[in-house]
Amino acid sequence: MLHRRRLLATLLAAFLPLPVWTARAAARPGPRLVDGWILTEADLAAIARLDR
Amino acid sequence: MIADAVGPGRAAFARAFDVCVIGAGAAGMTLALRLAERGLDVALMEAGGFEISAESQEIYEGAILGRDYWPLDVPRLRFLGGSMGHWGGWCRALDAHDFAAKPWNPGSGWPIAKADLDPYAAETDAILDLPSAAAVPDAPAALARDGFRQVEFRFSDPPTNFRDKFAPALEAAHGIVLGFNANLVDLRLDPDLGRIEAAVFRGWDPGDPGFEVTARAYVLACGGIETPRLLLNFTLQVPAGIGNAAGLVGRYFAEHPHFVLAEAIFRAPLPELSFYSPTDAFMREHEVLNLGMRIERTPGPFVRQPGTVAGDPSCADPFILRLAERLADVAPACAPGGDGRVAFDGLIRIAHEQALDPDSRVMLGAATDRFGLRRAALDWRLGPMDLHTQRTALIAFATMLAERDIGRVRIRDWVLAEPFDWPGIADDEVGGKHHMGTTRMADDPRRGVVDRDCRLHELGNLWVAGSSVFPTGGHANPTYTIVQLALRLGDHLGATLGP
Repeated sequence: MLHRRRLLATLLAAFLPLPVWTARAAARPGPRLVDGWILTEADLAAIARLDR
Repeated sequence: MIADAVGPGRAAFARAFDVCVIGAGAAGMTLALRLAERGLDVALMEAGGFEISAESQEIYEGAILGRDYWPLDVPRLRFLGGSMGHWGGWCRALDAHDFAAKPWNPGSGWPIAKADLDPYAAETDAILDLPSAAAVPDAPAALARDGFRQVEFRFSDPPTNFRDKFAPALEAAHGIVLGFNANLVDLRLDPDLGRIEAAVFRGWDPGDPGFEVTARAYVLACGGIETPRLLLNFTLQVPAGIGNAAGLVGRYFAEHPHFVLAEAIFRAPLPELSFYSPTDAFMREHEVLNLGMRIERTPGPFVRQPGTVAGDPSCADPFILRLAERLADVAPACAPGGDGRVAFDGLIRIAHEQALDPDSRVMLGAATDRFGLRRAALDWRLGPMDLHTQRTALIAFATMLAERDIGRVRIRDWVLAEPFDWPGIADDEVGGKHHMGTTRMADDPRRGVVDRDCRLHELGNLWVAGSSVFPTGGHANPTYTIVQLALRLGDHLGATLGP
């Protein structure tokens, strides 16, 4: 359960507003900043499956 | 010949020379040998001796006023060969665009171009014992992807020891007198304050009255901190210090900021080091400075057996397992087994061009050395452009790695933190121990201390050799460019003063 909460927090972070300096990176489709990591949507989906 | 300035050897300097070169490090030794090749009579004055000594090294102690930095006697060595005595051997010529002005870095732009230094490449390679650039080429610009291309450093391996390699040549050279234990304590100007009449030296004895060396030309080759310290100290005839009418001596101190910005995992095995730099277009579009993004292999590649549970493809991918473990402390529920694929850990370190800032500077501290000269005080500053360069380049680089499924990057917390501050020397590399910009080169005397030939604007016969003349530093380690500039200065003085 602890792992699940951490993962949820991580995924939520993907949708939080980013600082101005990342606006350019955030505006484009593709990898995004998640809890310090630059990850793809496929990464996030695969990690989520691991915690099922 | 070699003459110890402490003792009878001092008599060797009781005549006029063509050139008095002050400082026997990479720049001074290269220059002296070049001048002798051109038939000039040279006094090469070294403050230390053949071996490092506490009494000489102590002169390099100083104060740190600004950003955290090493004690000033740590990155510099004060004996024959200078700081080449702990050189790491990293070499790369500056890029062509390093010489051009970048409007987003006000004051940037050299008055010379890469083409002015290229003719000295082959000789510099030989001096530094390097493989040719052709043998270690950068990736072609056409292969740049997403704003980055792979570039190469060349390595002097083992690093050339200037003292051991060139001391015999200095001793044997017709026309060079190498003086040890000769501490420059003043430059005496003529009554018009337009030329140096004599360089004044002292040995270690407190009662030493000192001695003068006279020459047609003088060259300060003491490094990016010591050269401005000496000029600022020489105030007997010019209260602001020699060459400092525009107040620029010591200003624009620049390092190559070095920081580990991120950890990363990669799908493929890594070379020990690989380097990536932004394209011209990327720098213009994002208004960042030049940089080298270094991927460094960390020891012990992570190995995880791929799982076989439940047909979940993520369980069969150790890269994802590693990512999950690092990202969210997910304990994978996959059973062991599989094909033994691995994920590899690495670091991403940046070394970048520093933004110009006149308040980043070498000044004089309150404390004095044994000769009564005020010690150096360093106020090193990094600013918003430096942070912008680091963040923008890292995010773009990490995005490229993810999009191409090469690896995934975890940016260190401090890089993203607000309010922001850089790590200190206890936590990171911080800088390359490269000291640049403090007698910067410019055609306009209001914007630089030396002209394009490295001569002080204000004096007819005083030149500077070394990285203090760099108007900007690119991201390449400075030694290669220092040697190129010393050879070029040697040719200039040879043509100006030659027999």
